[in-house]
Amino acid sequence: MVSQTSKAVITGMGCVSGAGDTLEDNMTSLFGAVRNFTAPKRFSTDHVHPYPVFEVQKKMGDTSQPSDPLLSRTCYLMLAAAQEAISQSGLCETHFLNKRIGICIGTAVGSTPNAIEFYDDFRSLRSPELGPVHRFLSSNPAACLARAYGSNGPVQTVVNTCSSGTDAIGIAASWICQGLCDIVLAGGADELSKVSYNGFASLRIMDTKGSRPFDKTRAGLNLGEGAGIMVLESVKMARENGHRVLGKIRGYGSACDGYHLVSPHSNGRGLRKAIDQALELSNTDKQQICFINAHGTGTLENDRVESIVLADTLAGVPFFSTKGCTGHTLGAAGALEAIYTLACLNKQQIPPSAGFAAPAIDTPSSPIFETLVINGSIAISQSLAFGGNNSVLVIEGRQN
Amino acid sequence: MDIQVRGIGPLGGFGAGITPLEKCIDGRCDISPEMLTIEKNRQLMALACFKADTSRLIEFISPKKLRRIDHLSRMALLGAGLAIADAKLSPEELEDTGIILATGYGALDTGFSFLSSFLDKGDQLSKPTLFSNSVHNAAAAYISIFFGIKGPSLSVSQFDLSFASALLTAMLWIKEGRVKSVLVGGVDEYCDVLGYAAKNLHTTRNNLPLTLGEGGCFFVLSKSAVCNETGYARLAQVDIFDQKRTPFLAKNRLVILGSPGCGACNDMVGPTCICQDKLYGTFPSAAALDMGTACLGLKHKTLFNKITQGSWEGKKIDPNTILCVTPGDCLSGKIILKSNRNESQLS
Repeated sequence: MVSQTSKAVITGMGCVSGAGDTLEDNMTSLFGAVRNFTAPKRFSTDHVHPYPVFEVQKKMGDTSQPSDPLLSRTCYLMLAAAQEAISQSGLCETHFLNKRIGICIGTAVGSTPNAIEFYDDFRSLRSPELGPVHRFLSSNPAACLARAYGSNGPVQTVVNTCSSGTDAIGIAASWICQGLCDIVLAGGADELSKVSYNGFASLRIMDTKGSRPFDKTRAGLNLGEGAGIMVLESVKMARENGHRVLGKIRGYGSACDGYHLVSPHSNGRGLRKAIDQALELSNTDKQQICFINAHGTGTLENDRVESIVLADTLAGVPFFSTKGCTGHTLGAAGALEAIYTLACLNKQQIPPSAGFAAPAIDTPSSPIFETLVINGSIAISQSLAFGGNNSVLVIEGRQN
Repeated sequence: MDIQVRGIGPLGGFGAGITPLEKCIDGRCDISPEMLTIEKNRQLMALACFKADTSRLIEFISPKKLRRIDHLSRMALLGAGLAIADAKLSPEELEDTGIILATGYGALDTGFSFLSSFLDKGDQLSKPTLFSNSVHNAAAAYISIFFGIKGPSLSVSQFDLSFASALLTAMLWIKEGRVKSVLVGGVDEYCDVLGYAAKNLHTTRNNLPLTLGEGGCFFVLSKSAVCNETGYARLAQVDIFDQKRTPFLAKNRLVILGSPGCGACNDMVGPTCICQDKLYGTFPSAAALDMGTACLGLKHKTLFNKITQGSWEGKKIDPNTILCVTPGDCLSGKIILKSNRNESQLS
């Protein structure tokens, strides 16, 4: 395999989630184990005990009018995160005009035509206005970001459900390593939606309380929304631009279980392979990994399998889940968590796993429950997804 | 690095498999779209569509195992099965194969049926099977489960550019050595909501007749070095480009143009451009069928006899290259395929 090491560096990061409107706000919430979950406010539901969600507080573009052909909320979240990332990196109009800039964005809800009122009108044999259709067609996340900044490189919207953000960043790093682009805006974005809310409720994997990843009382996930965007550049480009390097994507591994549509393989077959591949591609020894940002949704099966794999393959390496602070943001999750991973590497601390209090019998390894000082520069961020996708990023922090 | 197209699995209104598509291309079979009607405000809206039939799927998977699988995933499974069989991929090779599935809109019908489940009976009675089948990567997951693929699995969705985008990453995975082979394909389905929207949008854009379609095409791609026998064609280049900044030029090459009738493609139409929508209709993943058509044309040089031999409307055509171009309003997709035949044999 062709090594990816050292070629894709990160020069900007931005994020918005239920844990805060900027990366700094998010980090404050994570290290304070702040959990801002409430019953859904953006849509009504007739569930007897509403499942809490983590909503973004920042006001986004007004998408309350179904006939208004604006962008989806997913796109507004993505644009907010992209603005923060671009601002940090120092990219400007000249770069977009003269450099080959790619866009790779992961999403789940953001690429689905979830226009409930439009569809209800349609099936009632009426002729609904096409506003929601126009909005859907204008709101493919990667295409939207490419349009917003006038990018002229490859454009890809990854729809691998919960691993989409991780995959998007991994693919973006490959584009740079293979010389397809000078710069890539990569990440993930997703909004809360009544459709995914009812979907996860129907699968009976949502918790009526705040989610508790890896805890003995864990009873499911909470949904969240948000976006995380990174600016990736080749080493040469970052040097030419004089951009400050925050860290790098050392490697990316991905493998599917080929086992079941909604359940992970009982022994984490695909996850083990993805970790091995990411380490191999990045020329990284397991001993160099100083922490793992786990997927840790709070569901019985995900946390059990993930904990088994971590106990077997990276025994003793501290890990945590941030979903107790953000909820599960689906297509955004992997991107947000990759950003948190790099921010933690550069802070040389990792946050407590919010919601975790006591180890479970079925999980052979447990996350940390208080802030931990770390000593190392390389970490893993991993995602497990619907359909048996498993994706892993090996991330290296800033060289001090 | 040479990347070969080793196997092809096409399906659409023409049938399923290479032979029906070849017959369709060279005019040996006469196909016509189904005429569909959608009732709106007590009036019937008529629509032409090439619908795909998945009955051949039982050659690969028992009907019992297909009970809960929706139409989009069945089409994807059939395309994948045909491509794998055509490439003669062994179970061992499948372990080191990745899957990339492109879909313009995903499992629309299943997604809307899921909405119906809670609109009819309330949020608490939403149907889980419909939800899990409606997510965009369900089709790729089924392919990995039924055919034993253990490499990476990726699904991409960006309307007409979905397939070109998927192909770009497929090439990358092979170049990186991430996997030895990639099963890559595009698939889309028709549903009445789509028909209603397309008919209305189309009418407002221009007055050209609209024929929708469904189906797709899958390919097995491998490095030339791992192929036991020569493939259909060499995948030379895939690009997503801004037509305004880097204008596309057909030059002396045959171009199969996707998305007929859209404003953007008017700038690209030239004497060497053809549209294949009359064979399988208009839908995002028709771009995959365009590539399938191009591969067959390069493998069997008589297939596009009138076009590739000699001149066409006074224009000399390069018989060793076919381009598939999907024009978009902002960005466009371009796939360049090269013949495996020796140049000297042709001159």
